Amino acid sequence: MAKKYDFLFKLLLIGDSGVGKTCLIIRFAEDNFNSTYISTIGIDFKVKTIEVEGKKVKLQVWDTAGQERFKTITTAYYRGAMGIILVYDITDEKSFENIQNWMKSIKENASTGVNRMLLGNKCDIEAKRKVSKETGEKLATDHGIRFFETSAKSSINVEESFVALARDILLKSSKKPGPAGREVKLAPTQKTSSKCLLF
Amino acid sequence: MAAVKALQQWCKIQCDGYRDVAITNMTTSFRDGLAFCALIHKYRPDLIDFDTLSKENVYENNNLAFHVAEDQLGIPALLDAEDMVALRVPDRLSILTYVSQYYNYFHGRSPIGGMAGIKRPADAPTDEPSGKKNLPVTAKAFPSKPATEIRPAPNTVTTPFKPSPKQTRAANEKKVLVESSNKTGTLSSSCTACKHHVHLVQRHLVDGKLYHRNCFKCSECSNILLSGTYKPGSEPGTFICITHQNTPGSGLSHRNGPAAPRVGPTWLVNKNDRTETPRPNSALSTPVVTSHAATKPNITVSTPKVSTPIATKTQEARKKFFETTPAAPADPPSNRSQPTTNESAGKGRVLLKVADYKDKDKDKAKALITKKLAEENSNNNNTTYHSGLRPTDGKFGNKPSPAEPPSWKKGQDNPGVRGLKPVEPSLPQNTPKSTTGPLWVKTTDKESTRPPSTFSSNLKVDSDSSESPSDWRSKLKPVSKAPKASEPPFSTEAKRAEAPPKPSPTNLVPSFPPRPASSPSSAPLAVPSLPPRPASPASPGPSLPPRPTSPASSAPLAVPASQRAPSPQPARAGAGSWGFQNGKGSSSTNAPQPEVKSPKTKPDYIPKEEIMKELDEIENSLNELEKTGIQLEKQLRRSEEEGAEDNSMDELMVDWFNLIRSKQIYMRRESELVYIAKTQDLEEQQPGVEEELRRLMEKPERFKTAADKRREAELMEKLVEIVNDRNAIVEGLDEDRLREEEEDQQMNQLMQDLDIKKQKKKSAMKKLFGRKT
Repeated sequence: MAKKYDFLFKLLLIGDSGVGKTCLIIRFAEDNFNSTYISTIGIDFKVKTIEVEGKKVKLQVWDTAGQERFKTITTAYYRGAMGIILVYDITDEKSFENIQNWMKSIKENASTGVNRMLLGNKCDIEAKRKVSKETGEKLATDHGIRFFETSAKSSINVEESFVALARDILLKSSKKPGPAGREVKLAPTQKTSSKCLLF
Repeated sequence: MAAVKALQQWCKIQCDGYRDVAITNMTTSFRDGLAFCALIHKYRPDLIDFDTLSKENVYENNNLAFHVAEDQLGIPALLDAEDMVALRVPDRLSILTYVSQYYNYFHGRSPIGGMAGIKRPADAPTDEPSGKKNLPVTAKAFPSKPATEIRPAPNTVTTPFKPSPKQTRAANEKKVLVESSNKTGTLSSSCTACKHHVHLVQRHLVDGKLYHRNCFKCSECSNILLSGTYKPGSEPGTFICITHQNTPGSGLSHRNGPAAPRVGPTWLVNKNDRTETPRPNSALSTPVVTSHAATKPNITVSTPKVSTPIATKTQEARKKFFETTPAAPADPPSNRSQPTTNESAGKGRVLLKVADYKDKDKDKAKALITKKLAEENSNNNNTTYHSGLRPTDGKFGNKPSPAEPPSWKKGQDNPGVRGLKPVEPSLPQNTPKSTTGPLWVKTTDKESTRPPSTFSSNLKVDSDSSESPSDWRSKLKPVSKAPKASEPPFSTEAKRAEAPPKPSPTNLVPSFPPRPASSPSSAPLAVPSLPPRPASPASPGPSLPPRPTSPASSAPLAVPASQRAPSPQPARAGAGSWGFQNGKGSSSTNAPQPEVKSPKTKPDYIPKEEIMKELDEIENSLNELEKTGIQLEKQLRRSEEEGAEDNSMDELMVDWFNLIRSKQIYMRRESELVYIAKTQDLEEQQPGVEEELRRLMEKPERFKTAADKRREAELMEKLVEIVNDRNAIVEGLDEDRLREEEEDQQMNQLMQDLDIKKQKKKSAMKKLFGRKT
């Protein structure tokens, strides 16, 4: 149950309001989708345990409100994150342009060396695309981070992207117990029999 | 003893270089507390500023160490700073045991009694905020009037606790140990609550006061208080479930709490209910809620007044009701047909009152009921349950002070039947209006009309929003997701699967004692495995059914009864009560059910009953362990006195540490369950807050009143707090996991070594302690 995992990673999603952060998380954590838009208030998180490299990784995925009014609340959560996912909407150019601002926000608020990843969401709505995949890729490359085009609605690349980020963090933390690898041990104990009994 | 020497050696090495610290023994060397501080400082220099400490400040040093260890490291304070001052030569075994915990903790291994980090300190902080937050809401809802009425309740409630009055005094008392076993030690060893001797294995220190683990109870509902689930009560020296409110008005809620939730830990039940309740309120427009609340209280007040002449009686009656309420369903087995009507009426009555006082409670009750209904259809359970209770009564009879009949506790102890009867008569008084069915109906109506009553009611009220919190939630998180195989929550089934063949708790318990003696290696591991237990109880039926079986098991427990058995029983009783409520609930309202579903649907949702059931089981196990531990301690002290330095002593010591270890494992699970319950609480709470907040925020700025804005800010804060609390739990669990992971690994290793050792007749303890040094 709760303790049956080897690592705990904290991820954080940021990006303009309405780009689909919450939907991505719900798709990832609960494999679900609801097209009704409900703006996130403040902050929230969901937890999901996945397997990466044979290790059980419990991901605590933080959802932030994209709206400016919640900025003070949300930025407080940057620091604890080991991975930050920047999300834009491929049908909304403004949201893509704002990625720069979000990057800045990370710089100002997150711990250095935090893993980042760029997601262009809503890639199922090809007809309304405003931001080409190449543009997104370029931006990611410029920052030296991963990039995916995703669709929470159609379940495209959601799991993949989260797992990829988790793997990055895992590998990084196993190399050197840095900030991201807080209390992460390289060779997590395989649950012993006694433990299994317990939980 | 090699083991002890090894431990001493370890301490010596750790404390090397620390001013005024010289470990030459396991008694006086620790008296001034500097050694403890040094041990902590050695590994966590951030926690203690050693340079500022002075050898002379015995109390301060010890107090500091004990508190830091407990709060920051999760090492339970076995010792009391006052004892260290009072005793020229501290109790050796106590010091040994306590230091062994440091060893376990810092060594990252738990050769001994890995007591490290029993309970997350995080709990307390986590809860408190939420609790506080809730308070305002409730407070608003309830006019002061009810308060007065309530007041009597707390007292009565406390009655079972009779010893409590002495508590304060007791705290300071340094009673000489009565038991021969304690000759050596002069620790203050009498329980603050019951005044009886506390054996090492039972020690539970809270704010420097010693309790039997079992005696540390809520002064309002008498549930055993687990760490993170209590807060100081209104009277000094008392503690109450975190869900209770200190305000006089709260008294009522408590009562209710005990009655319905009495089931189990109130914090568990109550909290949920409360949290739920608040939700509805929040979901509704605040103003509405308050108005409702206001009206209700008045109503209630009126009722009591009627009975005023017989004020006391009424109260008693009420109490009984509360008690009975839960119990009512249970007793019926025999009387059922007849009593049912009356009882139901009475119950309904009670509920009404309660409802009046507190919407929350009502909601709670409803929720409970619905849940129960959903889960348990059979009253049979109740019956069985009761039968189980009876034995309990006999045993526990002592505990609940006989003097006070009304106390809900008594009710618990008493077979439901008994309690009921008295109630009935009283009922008429209170509820002249409608005796039987009508009352019930009435209640139902009231509840339904009231927005607070439950989610279902919410729906109505919320019409504007059209979505009750639960609905909203369901939308967000579609239930569809079936529990994933990958991370099945605690499902009993999972446990069962893993569970060793062990048939029933009964078996388990007995098995344990013998083992330590003969082959500690296997025993400790086996015992800790919680799963076995669930297996037996779980299989019989959803939640209550198991109980019946447990009574049987209780028989073995009977022995401990004299000492502490009561606790487990009450818990069970509580469970029974739940069932009852459900039964009632079913009759009253079916609507709530959907609500119930929503939480349940969540993949890893563990029904409260499950949690409580397991907590009960753990409680039983702990009692057994403690019983064994008491014997072991006696043996140890005896052989210590006899100056036994041989292997036999070593073996005893190994057994002792193993036992401590087993206890630790149970307590781990216990604290985890507390976490889970809390998380679930919070998760249920969140949507409601969000809902209201959302509505407020949607309001155009210019239309917002000052009150709106204030409320908005409040809610925002509360929302963040809920999320933070949830996060704290995630982190707390993670810290536990990391520590326990290591502990377990070490433990297994150790056990293997021990086995070998034993065979070789070598000093196992030496290995234990000497291993890393």
